[in-house]
Amino acid sequence: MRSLLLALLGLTACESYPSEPVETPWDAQNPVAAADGLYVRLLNNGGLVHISPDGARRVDIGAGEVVRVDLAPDNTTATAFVRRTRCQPDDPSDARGARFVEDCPVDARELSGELLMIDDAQVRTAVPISAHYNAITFAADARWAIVWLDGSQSVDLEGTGVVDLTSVQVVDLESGVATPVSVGFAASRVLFTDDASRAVVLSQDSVALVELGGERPERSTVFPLTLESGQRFDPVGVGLTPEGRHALVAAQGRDDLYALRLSPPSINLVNLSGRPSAMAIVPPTIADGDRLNDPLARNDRTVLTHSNVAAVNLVEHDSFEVTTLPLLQPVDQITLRERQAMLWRFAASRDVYALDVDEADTTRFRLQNLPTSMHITPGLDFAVALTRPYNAGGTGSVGNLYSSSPGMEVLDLRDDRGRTTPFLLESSAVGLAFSESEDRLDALLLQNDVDYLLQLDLFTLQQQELRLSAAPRAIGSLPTTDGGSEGFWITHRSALGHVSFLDPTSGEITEVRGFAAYDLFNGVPLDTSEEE
Amino acid sequence: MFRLTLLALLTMSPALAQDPAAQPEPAAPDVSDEPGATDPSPEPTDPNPAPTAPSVEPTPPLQAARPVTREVVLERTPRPIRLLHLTYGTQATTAPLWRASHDRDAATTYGLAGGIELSDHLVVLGDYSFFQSSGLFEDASNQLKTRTTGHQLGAGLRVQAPYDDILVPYAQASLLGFLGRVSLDDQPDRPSDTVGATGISAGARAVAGVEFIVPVRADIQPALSLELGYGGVLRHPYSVRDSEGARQPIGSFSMSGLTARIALGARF
Repeated sequence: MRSLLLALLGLTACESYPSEPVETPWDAQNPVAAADGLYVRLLNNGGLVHISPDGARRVDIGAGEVVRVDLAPDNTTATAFVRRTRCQPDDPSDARGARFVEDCPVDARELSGELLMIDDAQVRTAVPISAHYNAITFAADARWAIVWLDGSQSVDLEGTGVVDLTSVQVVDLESGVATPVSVGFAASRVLFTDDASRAVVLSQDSVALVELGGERPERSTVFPLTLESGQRFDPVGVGLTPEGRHALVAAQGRDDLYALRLSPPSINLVNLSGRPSAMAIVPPTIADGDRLNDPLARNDRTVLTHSNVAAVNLVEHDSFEVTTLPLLQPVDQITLRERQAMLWRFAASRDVYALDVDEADTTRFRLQNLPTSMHITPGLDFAVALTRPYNAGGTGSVGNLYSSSPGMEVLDLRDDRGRTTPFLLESSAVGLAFSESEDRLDALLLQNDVDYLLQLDLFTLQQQELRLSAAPRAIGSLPTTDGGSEGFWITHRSALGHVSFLDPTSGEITEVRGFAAYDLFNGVPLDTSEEE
Repeated sequence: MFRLTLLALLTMSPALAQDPAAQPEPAAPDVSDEPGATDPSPEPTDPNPAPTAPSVEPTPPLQAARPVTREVVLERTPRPIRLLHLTYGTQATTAPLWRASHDRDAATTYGLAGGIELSDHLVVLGDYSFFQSSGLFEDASNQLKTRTTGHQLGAGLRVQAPYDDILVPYAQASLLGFLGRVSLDDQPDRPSDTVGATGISAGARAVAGVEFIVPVRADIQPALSLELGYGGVLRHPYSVRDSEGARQPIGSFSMSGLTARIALGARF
């Protein structure tokens, strides 16, 4: 087997560095997986394609460009931001014969936006929104969503007209009504309470509370986070406590946790061990609504790590009592699955900690290489770290071979012995997913420019290869409507479009190809519909 | 009709001059057609003619040799009315489907053209031309190979003004039928399924040119022509079928702009 070798047998020369990513005229890196298939953007013409094992279907979005696709909490409805361009030059002859956006002079382009709700490749509802919004957050009930301008993404405001950077739009996905709400300058995070009655919007200098229960959404409270106007508040983490009573905000460079009581409004500052580098809210074991209000029955906590202190803080959500657990080195990443948290430092330290929230204890793992991503398996029995080399010149010994090669390390969470099983990879990993069955727990690993899928049973460490017809680009699972997963999708580096669907139980692979040829040589169409 | 006249200046030799056979015989006086001539009555025959001494004709004096100009006319084969040419040319195209994978905004064409003269100034023609070009699609990190093939049939009329049957300036207009095929292959280095689509279109071409006919005395005369003009075919779509059988466009193709052609062939 030439795939990857167990560490003790690791004598294979490995390619350490990935090749340059290949551009494809479709978004092979970020497809959106719904219960009935995969939604893929066509980058050349702004189109959208729905792909299932039965084939590919074009979604009729009208004349426009899909700039973003998301999946609603029901796992079946996809939402698409569509940007439409009209060509309105001063001299109409300048637009004569123009069919695509690129045919229209830049200063003659007028943009408008729509949010489309798509079910089974059909547009169900279209809601007009401002064209500059590029992010959406859904409430758990899939009725409400807030669209906003995320400055951390690429922002193109050309032709969008006057942009109000202090507002977001609250969208009722059932009625298709969008309501602008002023929340503060440059919104950066949006959260909904579990009962979808409120939304919390964090902006650069404040936190706004938006009430959703009335006739129309409206802002009820604003919590200022800075003392002076113009001061910037860079959040490290934002979260709502499970019962929805408090919003917690941690900021860069500040040793305090902001605990905002939503009703009646008040602000508490919780003193931390150091400047926070990451934050995560561990949900309670019991999600029953009544018992969430019983402080003795609740065990939800907020976990905070620090960039300047080798310690982790556990914050209790009723009295905001802080428990500090020492670490050997500072960490800046928290990977959370259910109540299992892994603490690690991105590509800078080989130490990884498994945090037991209930026992307020940590288990240290020492990796062979520097972790770049961390994944916790379903069932919480293992964590898998993907690593990158930190010593490219090493040769000879097994240790040097490890340090000079990309790898994958399996961390056993079933006990506190800190056992790891390292693997050398043929090439850097491009995707990892887990497949769980009655008697197996498989890690499905894709590697850069390697045309097979590695299936590794984490219980027995037996591995097998599933041959792919082309080098992969990304992997993910297909969700089910009840929150589970059913099969996997794999995208490939193919200019014409290539997606494989894998049934992990049978190993059967179904391929769909050629969908990226749709309108491949056409641009983004101009909106020539009659204005109302 | 074409005639090639050749004047030759010949100098007669003295021997040739003394050769009575070479001398033009003096024509007998023809009086019958002269005006006023009367029908001569037969002279009376003397039944007893008196004996006469034999007479001796005086020898005419030798004439001096003199140059004689003779006109020799060589008739060349008339200009053949049928033509058949191999063509090589270029046709401008700026279609996105073409530009996506080609640096040059023109296709190189090869073909065959034939025609027949209906009159001295009017020719009916037909032609077939073909192009095939491959390129790499830049938007896909050059991982997508495209192949564009075009077949073009034309029929038209040529108005010509022959000059001495060697140079034939002309103006020509043709209607065109076009059959194109686009093939896309994203794994050129290994056998794989390709995406292909076919499209048809129509167009027109108007050119001006000149044909040079090599003047040889034969039934088949070599000919060369050069022409320049404007032509193209209308934009037409190419599409593939999706999994539900619906047609999905992949792009459109058109050709328009300058066209130039050189043709080498024969008149016969």
